[in-house]
Amino acid sequence: MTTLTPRGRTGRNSGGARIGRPSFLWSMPAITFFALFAIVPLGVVAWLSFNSWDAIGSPHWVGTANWSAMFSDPVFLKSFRITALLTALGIVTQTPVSLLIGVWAAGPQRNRAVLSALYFIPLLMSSLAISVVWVSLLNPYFGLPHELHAVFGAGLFNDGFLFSSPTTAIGVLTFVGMWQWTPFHTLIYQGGARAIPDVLYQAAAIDGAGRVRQFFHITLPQLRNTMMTSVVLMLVGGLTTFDTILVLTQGQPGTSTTSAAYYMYTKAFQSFQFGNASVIAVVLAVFTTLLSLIVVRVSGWDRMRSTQEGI
Amino acid sequence: MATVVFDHATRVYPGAAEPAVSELDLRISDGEFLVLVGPSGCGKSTSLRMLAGLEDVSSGRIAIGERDVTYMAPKDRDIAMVFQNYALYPHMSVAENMGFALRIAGVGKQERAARVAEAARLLDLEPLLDRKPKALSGGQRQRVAMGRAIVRNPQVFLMDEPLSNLDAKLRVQTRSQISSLTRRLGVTTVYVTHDQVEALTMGDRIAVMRAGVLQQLGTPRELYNAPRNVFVAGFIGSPAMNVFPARVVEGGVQIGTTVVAVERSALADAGAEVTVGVRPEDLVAGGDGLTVTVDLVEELGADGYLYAHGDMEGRRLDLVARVAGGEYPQLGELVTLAARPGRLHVFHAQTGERLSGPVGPSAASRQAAVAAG
Repeated sequence: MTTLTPRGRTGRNSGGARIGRPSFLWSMPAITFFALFAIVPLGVVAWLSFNSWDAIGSPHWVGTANWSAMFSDPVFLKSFRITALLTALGIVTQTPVSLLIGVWAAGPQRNRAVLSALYFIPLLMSSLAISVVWVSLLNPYFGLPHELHAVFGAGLFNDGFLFSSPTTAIGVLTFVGMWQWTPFHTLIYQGGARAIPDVLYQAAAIDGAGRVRQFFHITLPQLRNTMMTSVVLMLVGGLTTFDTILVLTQGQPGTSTTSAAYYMYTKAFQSFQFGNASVIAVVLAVFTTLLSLIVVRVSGWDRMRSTQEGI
Repeated sequence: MATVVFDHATRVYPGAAEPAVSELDLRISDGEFLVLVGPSGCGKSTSLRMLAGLEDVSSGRIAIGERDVTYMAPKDRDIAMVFQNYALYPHMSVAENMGFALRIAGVGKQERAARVAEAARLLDLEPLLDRKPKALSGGQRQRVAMGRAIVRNPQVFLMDEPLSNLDAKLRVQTRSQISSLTRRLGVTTVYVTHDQVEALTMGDRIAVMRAGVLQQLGTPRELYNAPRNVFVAGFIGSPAMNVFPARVVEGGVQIGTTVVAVERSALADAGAEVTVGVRPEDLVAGGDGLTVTVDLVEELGADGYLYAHGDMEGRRLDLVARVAGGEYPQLGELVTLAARPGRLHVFHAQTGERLSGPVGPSAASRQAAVAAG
């Protein structure tokens, strides 16, 4: 018994230590990762933007030369307009589609569950794989435009040469983005729609509202927070779109699909102007952060309340 | 304003062996306040939801006024419903909540505002019209739910346990408000509750349900004085009626040392034993009867309830009796209890059906009925 006592006490002590606040040590893995893959690269890139470096040899300080070069580069300025356009088109096309399908998929019917499961398959595929598939599918000589010449040759779609005109190229990027990302946003809306209490629909039905009015007066207001979440994710995703552009259009025709992220890539890995590329990276990071802050402020996301309070 | 008819209305949930509501037959007259009451799972809420159109009718039919609504969508039935948790639209203000049905119906903005204001005045909601539901107390939310119903001026009000989320004091207060409001408006009302006190105090008539089957339909007084079976006898009245088995003897039934007279015809096909019931106020202390030991006395001021146990033919028997204030016995004291003459309810031992009982209310239960009605 006497030998047990000290051991028991040790046990209590170690137990007692566990009760207090977790020590700083516990957050080290996350902090290390964040520092290694976010903060350090950001700092290096910011420093690189004041240097000239071609990936061989060592960088040398050039002051603000990169910055003035980039801000007088018309492609650089245009690439931000294109990024904004692609992001806006993504939000405008994906939101209504994923909202409608998500609300539909939230129903309890079994056939809806089966169809939704099929519909969510693109979520499992990588952007590159999806882009490669669509490059082949949209090939003007042996893809869909050739097979469905009646549709694509009618004059609306540049005679099926979708990648050759700025308008249709932007259209292709928007369409493939939609194909790839609506399942994800549909999933978000499905979850949101499932959380709306049935009794609200019953009350609305008794108040005389049919399905369309129930959608506009109950579902839509109740999905407000869900919609904000989805739009913020689309915004961040849209601003950094790169891989689909790389495979589908390579920024062409001309520079009419050259987004900021893609331009940064060409500057760094095709022209080996890492200083100039770093300027784009820094501007893009600042731009994205500012935009996120604006969305959070304008939408009231920072003081967001449950939409079900007071039911 | 309209009559409501349930004609053999039945609801069987898919996969369920027993119907949730079985062959419900009810005729509710224009302007009547009918209470559906019963324990949980008795089918009362399902019946109400069938009338609302929120549950399918498996067989039989339901009519509102002249219209057969059995297969009609809820929105076309011209009914208003108050839900247990109120189901206010959280993103709309009180005024918008109340005016929603009118807006859907295409009523102009001015008339809508006027009717909402009128309802708000009736329910004391005028200062709250611009608030969102989350800024309201439970009682205020309840009143908004009521307001949303009356603004419509519907043919029928449906209320699904609208008071169960309120505290006891507010519940009593709101109970009388709802009673007087619906009667003033003269709208047919179907009210669901599990609380028999609510049923007795509010209903013009009460329908008692159990396991999907209507047990008895009648005025509160009828249900209290002449329960059709043991279940209704035990469900209506608080504290509940004392119900216990008793032996049939020559001239009546044997309770303790006394034989309580029951007419011979009533006991003709009863067999050797019956189930008898006595309301607490129909048990008197003293004289002949059953000797019991006092376990507990609940003093309520003007009167009180005595909880006691005795031994009847080898079986323990627990009884509740009402005693006048100031006559309370001591705990553990031996008391003799007997039923007032003619106040014994007799039920068939196997079927539980009523065989005989008091024809009219006693002085004591008349008082209770007056207080309730």
